[in-house]
Amino acid sequence: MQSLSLAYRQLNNLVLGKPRAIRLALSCLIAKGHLLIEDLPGVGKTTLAHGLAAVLGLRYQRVQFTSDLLPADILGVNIYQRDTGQFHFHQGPVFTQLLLADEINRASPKVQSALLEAMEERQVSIDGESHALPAPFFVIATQNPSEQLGTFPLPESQLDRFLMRISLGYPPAEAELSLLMGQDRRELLSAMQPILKEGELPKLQQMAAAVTVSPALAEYVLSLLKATRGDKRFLAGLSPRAGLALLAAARAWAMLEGRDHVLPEDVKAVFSSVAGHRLGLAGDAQSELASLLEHVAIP
Amino acid sequence: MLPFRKRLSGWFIARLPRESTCTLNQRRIYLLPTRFGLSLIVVALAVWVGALNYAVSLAYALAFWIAALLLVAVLMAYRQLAGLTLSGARSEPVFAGDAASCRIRLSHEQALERRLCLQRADGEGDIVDCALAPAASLDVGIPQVLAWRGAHPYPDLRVWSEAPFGLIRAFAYVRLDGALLAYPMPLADRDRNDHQEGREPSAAPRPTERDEFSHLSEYQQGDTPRQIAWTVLARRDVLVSKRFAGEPAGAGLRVIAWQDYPAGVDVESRLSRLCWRVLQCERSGQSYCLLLPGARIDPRPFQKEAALSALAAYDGGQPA
Amino acid sequence: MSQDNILRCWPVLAALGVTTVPLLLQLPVWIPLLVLVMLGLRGWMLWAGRALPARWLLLCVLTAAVLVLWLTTKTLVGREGGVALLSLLLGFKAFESASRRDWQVLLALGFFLAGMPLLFDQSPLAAAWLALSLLALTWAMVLLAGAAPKGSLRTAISALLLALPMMLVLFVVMPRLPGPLWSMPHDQKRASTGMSDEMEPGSISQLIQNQEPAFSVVFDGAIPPRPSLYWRMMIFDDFDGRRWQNIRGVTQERMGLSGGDAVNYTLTLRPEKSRLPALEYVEGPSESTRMEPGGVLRLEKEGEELFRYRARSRPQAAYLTDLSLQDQQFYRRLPVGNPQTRLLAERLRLQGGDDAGFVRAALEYFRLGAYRYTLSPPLLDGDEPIDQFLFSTRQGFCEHYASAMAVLARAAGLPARVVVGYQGGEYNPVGRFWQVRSSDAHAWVEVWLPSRQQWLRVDPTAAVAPSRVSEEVTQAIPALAGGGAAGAASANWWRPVRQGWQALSFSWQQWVVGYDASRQQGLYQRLGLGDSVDSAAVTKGVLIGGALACLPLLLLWRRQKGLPPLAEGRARIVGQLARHGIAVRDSDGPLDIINKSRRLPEQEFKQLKRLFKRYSALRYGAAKPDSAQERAWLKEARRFSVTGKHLARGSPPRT
Repeated sequence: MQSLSLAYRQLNNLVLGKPRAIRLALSCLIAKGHLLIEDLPGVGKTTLAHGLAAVLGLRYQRVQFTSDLLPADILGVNIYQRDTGQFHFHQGPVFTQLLLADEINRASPKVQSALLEAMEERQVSIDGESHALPAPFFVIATQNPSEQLGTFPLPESQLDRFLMRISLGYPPAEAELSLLMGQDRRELLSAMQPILKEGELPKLQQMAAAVTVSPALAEYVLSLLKATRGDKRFLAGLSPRAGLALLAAARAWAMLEGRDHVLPEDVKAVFSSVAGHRLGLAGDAQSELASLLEHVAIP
Repeated sequence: MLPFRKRLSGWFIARLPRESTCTLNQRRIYLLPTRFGLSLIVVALAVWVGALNYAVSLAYALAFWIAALLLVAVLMAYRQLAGLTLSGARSEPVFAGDAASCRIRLSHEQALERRLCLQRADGEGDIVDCALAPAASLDVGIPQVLAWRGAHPYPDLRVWSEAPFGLIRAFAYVRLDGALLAYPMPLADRDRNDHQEGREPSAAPRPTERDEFSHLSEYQQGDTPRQIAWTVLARRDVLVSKRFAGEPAGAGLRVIAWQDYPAGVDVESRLSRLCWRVLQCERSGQSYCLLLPGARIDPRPFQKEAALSALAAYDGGQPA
Repeated sequence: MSQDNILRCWPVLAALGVTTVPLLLQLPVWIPLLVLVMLGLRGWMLWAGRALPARWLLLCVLTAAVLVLWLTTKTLVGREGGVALLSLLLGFKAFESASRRDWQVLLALGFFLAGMPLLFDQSPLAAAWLALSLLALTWAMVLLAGAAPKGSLRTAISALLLALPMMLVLFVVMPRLPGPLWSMPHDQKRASTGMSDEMEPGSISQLIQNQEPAFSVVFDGAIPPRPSLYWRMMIFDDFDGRRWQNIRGVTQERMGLSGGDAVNYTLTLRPEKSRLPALEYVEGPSESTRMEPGGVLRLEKEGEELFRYRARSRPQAAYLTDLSLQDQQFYRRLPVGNPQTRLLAERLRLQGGDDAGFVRAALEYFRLGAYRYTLSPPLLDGDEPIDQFLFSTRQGFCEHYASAMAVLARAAGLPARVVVGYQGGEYNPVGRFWQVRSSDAHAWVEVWLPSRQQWLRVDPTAAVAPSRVSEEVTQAIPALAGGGAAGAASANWWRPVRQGWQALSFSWQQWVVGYDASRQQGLYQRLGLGDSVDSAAVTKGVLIGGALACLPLLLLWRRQKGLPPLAEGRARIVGQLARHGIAVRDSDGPLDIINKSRRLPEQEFKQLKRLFKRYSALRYGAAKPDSAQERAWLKEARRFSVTGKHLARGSPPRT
């Protein structure tokens, strides 16, 4: 736990003025979920992703997605070995503990689908042969808002492979000032030491999964799900799987807050990040969710 | 409503601030006997006079019991309203000229069941009857016709209860700080949407193999089976259609622009026509882009709502 | 009609039915029965969905019913006629009720109707039925107002119970105005169980079998011995050979009492024909009573309401009066006949010597003459009934003995008259009062002794059956003591129950039915509200009593039962916060509430924080609720209150 708060502080030094986003990102990883960071270029998405990898002490790969990227470029490819006369699987960058998929919406939908499938199954199938991905395996994808030209929005039905979607937004004024005056982020990044030792992350994940969820809280989650289903503002309500995701994220958040049980406030804290993309809301349409939270009574 | 009562309610309302949430308390709740209550008072008096005249002691007891019951009824009627919280809930926008349902949220913490009536304070419109379970909340809708485009304030409301005896009416006036949105009333403008005329909806452009998936939207009559998102249907049991990036490519994207009309056309009829065209495109699945001075609404999820809201809120180049 | 209509309107009809039932005992039976049938018919029409009958038809039927009513009771006003008319109108109104407002009018009339039986009967049973009627009416009112059937009875009961203390306070405190506002026409005399205007064989023995209470007495001080409790009510001065009656032959009689100790007592009864019993011999009339010749008390005004009066009597005194020769002549009048009796009178006269000696000899004759005291004597059907009784049948009851004794005295030349009233009574140790019943009715004789100028009481029955005056009549007569309707001796367990019930009805009579202006004044003095029932005292009483009566209301207000402890505690705290301008929504969790309350004073904020930390742990920290802990928490939450007046509304949050 101590190391976790240390990691949190480190990240706060790296990405200035975004404590909430960092907390969300951390709880997403502790809840074993993949993270989608959506925002304009240059607000620190990549820095946050790098920082997370570095602090958590994970092996990581970074892939810059472009429109000419092919699925094989990510997953890997079978190459014929002349000396052995056999095909040998050449692992792609996805075979790592933390994959940074930068600007995922620049890649073609085929590439996106391939990656999303790997995320879901935690394995790669090439030519009828499955290759398991290492554990833990996270994807932190970043994307620019879909309205930008030359992008392929992620297919909505597959968006729920990501546990959370967060956006960073512009930093507050004083944070931006110290960003301008302070050290170069790249230098800071390279100087960062892993804080979590090997095997510590799975332990934290187990701890998070053991955080108590009382019947009253489960009821609250249920009424939140119900509220999204009956609401015409949303195309389709949240699925039962979304409910589970919401609980997992809330558990991790509660643990980060230092509690052994989940409070309704924990659910509220992660709700818009977990539910926003599943309900097909644009990143800036979060007010709908806020008003929903305001109107669902806590049992 | 009688002019006197109208004046009285006007006086009550004028003293009230607009508020987003209001919890009724003794300063807000007024109590008056109903006609039934008055007749029971008369009965109590008659019994009392009879008791006096015929020297019947038990009849005194009856007269006083009825009187005491009326007092208890006052308290119980007051309890029906005391502690009740009213707040504005999200109301669905409508087109100007239609009746919107002004959503009100009623909630309380008390362990009693309340039976309430709501109506607009000016006495027009239907009376909404509802029962509120102990420590629960409930959304009710007050019908309200929105005559013109734009944001309308919530109507002043009167909430009352005659429960549990019908002897005493407890009532209160409430001014909630909410807004009802009215989109412009659609006005047909066939000249500018002429390409739609005479075309069957099923003739909407079929997606080709190389079209790229763009987003999902509500299923519309005439969408081809290929367009239906079957996975979504299987998983969530809702019928949605895929929209493809190739669909509007270039010529397909219809631009609905403020500048389509000569300068002489006044704002409201312009907005009404734009509104009609937006709806027309939505109906036929046509991709479009709405251009207003200072705003541009491109194809995206919930484009319809965004476009209509922009039209509703338009105020001379500085849309909200 | 719809299901809902049945649910709303049937209870009204049922409540009216319940209210009508006690009238069955008071009115000609067909009237309440007709009303009940009409109510039932209306209920059936609701159920069957029939349309209401035409108004002209209703009017015809109503007119016919009223006509029949007028023909049978001869009146449409007054107590009986008025009540009958009202209940008929009510029954017809039910056939005119369609809208909710109509039903409400009907219900309001029902409340009025509930008071009607009280005009006839104010017993505890009538009061119980009144309460039942009120409950039915209130329940119907709740249902008519649209409440769900479940819990509606509870609402009605709790409202009535909450109103009860207030009713009691008003009942006690509100001033009782004296006198009627208008005089009410008197009804025809109903069949009376009381004493008749004449005495013939059998007229009193009928009364004896009646256990109904006649009146009750509370003595102020020492109680005179039972044998001296002669309650004087009427005198009969004329004998026609068979029956005695009062023809008021003597219109003036100066009464003087000598000797004996005076006792004060209060007597409560419902007077019949203004007759008031009084202990022999009463000193003089008190308020609103008058004395008639012969030393009997009468009510000043005609009336049948419950009446209570104080009197002062000297049971051991001698009744002195001087009779003119003419009056003496009047009291010696005898019709011809009964020769044997006359002979016997002369013999006894000789035997006794002087007047007093004659009386002694006569009593001795009765005691030794093998006479039997019985309720069912052989019929005296001969031409000389007194002779027949004295010399052949020799069985009789007090009226026989009194009649024979008076005839003997008159035959012997002594002025004599028959006195009718009650003798004895039953002491009720529970209520500490004497209950005198119809069965205590008695007749005795007064003989005027010229030598002493005194009316001397002579009770021949006591000579025949001494136990009659020393014990209760039921003990004295074997037929009554040996079981039957009044078989009191057979069941000892029954006696305390009976006495308890009597005590209850006595207190009821004294404090409820008989609660009048004077009682009220006494109570005001005892409660220390003031010496008289004036506006200041009433105001004081209403204020104090009202405050006391409001206590249960306050409790109701405070109560938040029905919610689980955690929810109740949360609601309480939220209520406290709302009072200070901190609006908490349903959608606020514990941390949200803490955050919103930061501007509370330091102490309260700390307490609130502690409470909600604990709340979180109980509500969200445990997989299973722990009710004991939750209740403990609720106790603590109840103590939370924001007292700080300095907490201004809308002051900026302290963040």
